[in-house]
Amino acid sequence: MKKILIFLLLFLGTLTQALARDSVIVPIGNSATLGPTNAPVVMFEFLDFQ
Amino acid sequence: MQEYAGRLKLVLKHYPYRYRDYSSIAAQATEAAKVQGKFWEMHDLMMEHKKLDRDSLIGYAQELGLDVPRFQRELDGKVYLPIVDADVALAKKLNFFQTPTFVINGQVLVGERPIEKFRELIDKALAKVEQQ
Repeated sequence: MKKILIFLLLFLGTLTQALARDSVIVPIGNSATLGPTNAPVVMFEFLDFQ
Repeated sequence: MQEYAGRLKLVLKHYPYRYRDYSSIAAQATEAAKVQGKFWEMHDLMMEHKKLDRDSLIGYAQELGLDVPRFQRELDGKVYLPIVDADVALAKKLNFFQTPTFVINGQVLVGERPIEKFRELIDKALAKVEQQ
């Protein structure tokens, strides 16, 4: 019973994190952009060149 | 990008790994090129050649016809480090710990993924926008 509860808590924690990540808001700021300013879809890429 | 021309905008955020030799200087070099109007050209050269040491970056600046003394001065003076650091701080605030990490209309995609996965998320985002 205890193991099931721990599993459920871990599962719910992971699910909560995943749902929270679905609504991430990233400010564009002065970052370099490619594509039209009013594009309906904006894709941010966090990149390491090396 | 061409496939979604007019409907997709790419925004690049820096997230140089702190323990790699050239990650930070490469990110700063793109910013130094950006003020001279050649961000994406510098980005493309770096991706093509993969060499990111200081001399190579200055070589790319020459190849792109940038004002090299200015580029070199700004690179050595770490003029654009605060911009790179601000992006890193943002990534950490968002709990991103891996590169590349993508955010497509709020949806997070971590790591290098097949192009189909990007199409799926972009198409979903477009459908959602069209419904609204």
